[in-house]
Amino acid sequence: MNSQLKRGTLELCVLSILKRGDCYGYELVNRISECMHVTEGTIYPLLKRLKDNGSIDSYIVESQEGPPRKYYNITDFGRTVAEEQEKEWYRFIEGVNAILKGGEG
Amino acid sequence: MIICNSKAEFMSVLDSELTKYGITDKSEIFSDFEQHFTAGIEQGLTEQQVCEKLGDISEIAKQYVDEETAERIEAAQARAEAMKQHTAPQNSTDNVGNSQGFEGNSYASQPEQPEPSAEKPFQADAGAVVGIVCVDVFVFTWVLPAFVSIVIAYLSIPLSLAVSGISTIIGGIFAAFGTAFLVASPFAPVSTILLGVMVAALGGLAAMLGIVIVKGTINVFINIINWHGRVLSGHNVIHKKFGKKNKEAAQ
Repeated sequence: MNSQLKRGTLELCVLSILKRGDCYGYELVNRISECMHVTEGTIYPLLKRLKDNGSIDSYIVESQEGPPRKYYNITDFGRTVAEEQEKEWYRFIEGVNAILKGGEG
Repeated sequence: MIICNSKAEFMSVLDSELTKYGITDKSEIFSDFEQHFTAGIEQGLTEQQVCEKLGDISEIAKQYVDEETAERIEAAQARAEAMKQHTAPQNSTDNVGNSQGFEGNSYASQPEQPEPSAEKPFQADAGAVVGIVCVDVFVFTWVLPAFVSIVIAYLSIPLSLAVSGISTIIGGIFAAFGTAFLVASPFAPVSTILLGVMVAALGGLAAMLGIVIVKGTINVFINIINWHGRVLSGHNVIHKKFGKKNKEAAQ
């Protein structure tokens, strides 16, 4: 898959998962890699990019057993970005489907 | 493609790969992956399995910088790598004229490249410098003047042959057709012209040999100059045009 397209798509996936609730890194990575083939390690740089542009934020939760965990949550800005990207995604998919099915759309 | 077998190895490779892409603020990145390993092991995976799932470390590090920066750094690295391979055999004593691919100006065009180890400053060998000076004294006072005068002396041969040949032809023509000029000749006019053509042709042959000699001379000079260049600065000064055959033979 084209890496540029994959980058953008993964971004939407991360935002979409966080829209439904906060997650810690491993959990998030696992949910994505369950659904599609990704180099899991590259999700962390993606999370950093999203945090840098203000779409998501993170906080530390201490736990009794084991080290503290870093949770990610979506920001209001992230929600608007996600909605925008979702719409774009469906438009894109419809377009591609229409072409693949031979001009039915 | 770098995939490790253990967490410790993963962390140290990640460290060096992040450095490669110019990332200095690493502590948060390290803690993200530390946590990832902890969580994975809690889920019953081995360190090796977590590493495999995380994937290519180089690709992970690369994703922390934007694409343009990553490409620029990779290009600089590839150049530094190529430079290393080129400069390494250059300091050995037995190679003669196999550094024609050396691009001296790529140093200047990329002053910010992050591989200082590749730019090892050239160190001239003191013994070689003394040797070169001694040879130079001998070459410039004896060999060079003698050699140049022999070459110039030789060049007069084709010239004189050509002149005498052409004048014989002209003489023959006058003998045959000129009524006003009567040239006393032991040969018939036509034979005279043929003799002239023969002498001129001989001159042509001598000239061809002369070209070979001049080329050889230039080649010798280029070799001497490049030898100075290699000893004093580490690379050839002149890229040979005439010495193609020598170069191929050397490789």
